Amino acid sequence: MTARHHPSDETLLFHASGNLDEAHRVVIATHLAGCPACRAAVRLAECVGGDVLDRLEGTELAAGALAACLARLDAPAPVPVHLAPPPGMPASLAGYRIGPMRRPVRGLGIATILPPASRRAGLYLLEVAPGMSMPAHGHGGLELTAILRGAFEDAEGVYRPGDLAETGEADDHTPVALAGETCVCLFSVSGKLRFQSWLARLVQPLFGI
Amino acid sequence: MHETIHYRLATVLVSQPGDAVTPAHLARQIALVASRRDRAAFAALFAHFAPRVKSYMLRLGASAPQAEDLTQETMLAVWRKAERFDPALAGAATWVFTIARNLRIDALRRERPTADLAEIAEAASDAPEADGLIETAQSEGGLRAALAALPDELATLLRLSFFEDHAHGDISARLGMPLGTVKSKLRRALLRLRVALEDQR
Repeated sequence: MTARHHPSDETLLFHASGNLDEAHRVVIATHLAGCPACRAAVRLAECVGGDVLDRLEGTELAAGALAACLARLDAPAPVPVHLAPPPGMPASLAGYRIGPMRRPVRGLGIATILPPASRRAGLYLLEVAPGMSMPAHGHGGLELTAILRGAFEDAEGVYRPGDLAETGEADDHTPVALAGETCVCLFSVSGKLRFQSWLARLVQPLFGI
Repeated sequence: MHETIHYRLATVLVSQPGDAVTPAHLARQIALVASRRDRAAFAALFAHFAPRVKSYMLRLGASAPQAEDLTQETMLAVWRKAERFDPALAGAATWVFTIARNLRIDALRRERPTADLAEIAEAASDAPEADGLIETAQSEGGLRAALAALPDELATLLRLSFFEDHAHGDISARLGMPLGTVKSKLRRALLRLRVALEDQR
């Protein structure tokens, strides 16, 4: 399975630098697990990180820092906690839970991934019935969608499991879930409030408000 | 614009190539820690990396005690994970950078266990790589040469991205450059690195 839709280079750079919000990081990690090309791009960016670290002018450590560190070397290492992802979910969701699935309209399910990643970016599981139009985006912040099951199509083409859709800024596209299986996606979006209005926009036309 | 960027470069980064310690020497010290728990080798690694890791944490907004703490944790992880260092995959500085980065992310996250995303990527990368870029990208010398050959402005933006928050478009605000311009320049910088590394093969 070779992914055909990838995150942008600059998003991979921010992933490598550790400066991407947790919600986005989880969606990127989901894609990376199945995409050698993007892992290579992340490693390239990490090499830049190594160069950045090496060029930093050092800051003097507290007196006795080395001795303190040496004294801790023989202490037993903390036992790594092995966490499992929720059933049927990718390894990137290990340690997370899936909140109650809300169904604001027929054919669409939204669950918050718990615990909430951060106040700045939300992480959700979406279930979109075949033929159902996914919420129209186009509101500024970064949005990442990793397809777990099923498929959807927008102006850029067809997105299948392993693919990642990155939108932001002026994008205004309307993805439609393809016939067949329910499309299940992991979705991260910057700004929670905007996400609420996004839902409202979806619900409004359908209820004729 | 150029003045601003160069000013920022001067305040954020030092352009000297570090002290006389070579990447190969550092990699050997890590190998010595891995093979025989060599404390002298560890002390050498500490001398080189700990002050830099502390600066890295401070630049990213950690308080002095937090930075000191995270530096200790990073160096302890260097000791404990030394066996997992593979010089064919990453240079010493890159490896230490990823450890420091991950520990900072953990510290920022609330006190709760979640997936170690770096470990997942690591596990996934046991699969054969389709992209031959990997080996080249890891030759740190090649990368540094490619970085040095980048126009100053692109190199600076690339380096700044390690100290700025994506969500807030901080680089853009800081440099008074539109976000779209920052992104396209970053993209161009990464593309140039990739092309340069491919050419070196």
